[in-house]
Amino acid sequence: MACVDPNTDAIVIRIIYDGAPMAGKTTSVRALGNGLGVQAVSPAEIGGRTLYFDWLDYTGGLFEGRRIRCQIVSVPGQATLAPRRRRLLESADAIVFVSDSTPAGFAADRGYLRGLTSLVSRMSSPAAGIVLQANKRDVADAISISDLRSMLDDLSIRVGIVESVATDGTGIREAFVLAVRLALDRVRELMRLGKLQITHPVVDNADELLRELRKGEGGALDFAAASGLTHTRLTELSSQCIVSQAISTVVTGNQDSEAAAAVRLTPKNDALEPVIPDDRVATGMIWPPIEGRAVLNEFASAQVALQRLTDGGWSTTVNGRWRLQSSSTAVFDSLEAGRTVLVHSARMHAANPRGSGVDRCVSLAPDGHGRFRLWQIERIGT
Amino acid sequence: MANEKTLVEMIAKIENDVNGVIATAAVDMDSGMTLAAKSNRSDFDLTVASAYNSELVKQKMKIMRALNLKSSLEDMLLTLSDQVHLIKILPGGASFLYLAAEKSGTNLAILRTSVNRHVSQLAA
Repeated sequence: MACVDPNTDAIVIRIIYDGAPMAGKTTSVRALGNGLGVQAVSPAEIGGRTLYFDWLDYTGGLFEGRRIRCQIVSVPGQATLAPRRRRLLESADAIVFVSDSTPAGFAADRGYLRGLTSLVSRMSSPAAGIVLQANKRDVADAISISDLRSMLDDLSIRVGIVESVATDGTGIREAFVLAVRLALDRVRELMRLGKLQITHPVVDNADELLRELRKGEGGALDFAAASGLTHTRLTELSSQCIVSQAISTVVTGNQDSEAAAAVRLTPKNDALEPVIPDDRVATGMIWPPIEGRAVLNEFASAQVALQRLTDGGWSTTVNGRWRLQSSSTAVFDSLEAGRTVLVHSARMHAANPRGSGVDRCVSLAPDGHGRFRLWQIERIGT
Repeated sequence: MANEKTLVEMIAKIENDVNGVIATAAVDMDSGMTLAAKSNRSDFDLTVASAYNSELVKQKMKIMRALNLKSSLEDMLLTLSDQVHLIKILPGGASFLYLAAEKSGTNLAILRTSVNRHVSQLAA
């Protein structure tokens, strides 16, 4: 849904907060609103449950010289409102999946994440990136982050993880800013493809979004809401029930080495240990642009021991899941020189896709010593 | 990246040291979004200031690259007729601290000393 609004010359992006019921989506959006100094709008709710959405409108930041206007929207988590959730998710430029760290919430998250990734995979390219906001980290029996990562691996989902306690605001802004970065990665990709539209946003405020949803549903879901919502998660539905069936439909150039070498600067056999990239790498310096940043998010808190390769390059593994390698010739004096090789390498990988998940990334990042290093990142075991 | 709570605490410590602080924000370099912010004056739009200062920092870095300078940017000091502004790159280089203060309440030396002391305590 990203576009450039010609009236304001702002880039309009939409960030959707998704998750199971009672995971903390509304609390997160409201806490974010408090932090940003704007008030969240919630068209309707029953007993603390969102019926339509929560809406925040925030303009902040700059991208390519234009202001960034964020439409921040949470979805209803109730299983009976799944079509409403789907419609909202389809309009996302980035998604913050609010997960519930309690054991019961953790079990429910699996089904929601599976549905979410299925939906994202069917979005037109470039798809929205996902941040997993691990909420309720203050509960005594909170699921460990390694268990969470294991579940994500089982589901072949590549997302960035930010821990949070929405009730006191901890981690909310970090998750949001990471989501904005993912959305801007998508905007940059849309620009590159010539797909970024210059148009007034289809939906400009909460009232218009409410009207659009009501128009699309023809009142069908209002009946479900009026008959009284129960606290129903996807996992609690029988596979035969009509709602469950409805939901299942919802969630249903080769490298030119000579060219590359031509732009590569004379390598310097730098003996100083380089810094490895993480999710703070600048927009445009990671491929694939959205999923790649989610992979790098995993490196941010990792302890790594770099090994020197015989050719003078560097190698390491992160969390036993990713292998990073940078050859002695992959270090550059300028960002521009490194970027040329990054683009070339990305083209090579894009021309030779492997499987459906993200198992390879390429990133150009400062080496910590005033130069830039290109890293090849590969999933171990692929 | 330091979390919001840590950044807010750091901003509070700097305000304790320095008189006349108008507004302070930790800003994400890439997007210009604020990571933590505190404004003491309602007419000072910190969101806009943060966004445009991120462009200023990025332009300065571009200039450094154009000049083939190998050094890294540490801070930027700006003097207005009635205010002083300080931009301090935070550990890791992906964000910066932006602080505006009344010129009558402080000076750049005091401001810089306090900011350097508290920023150095942040982990990269």
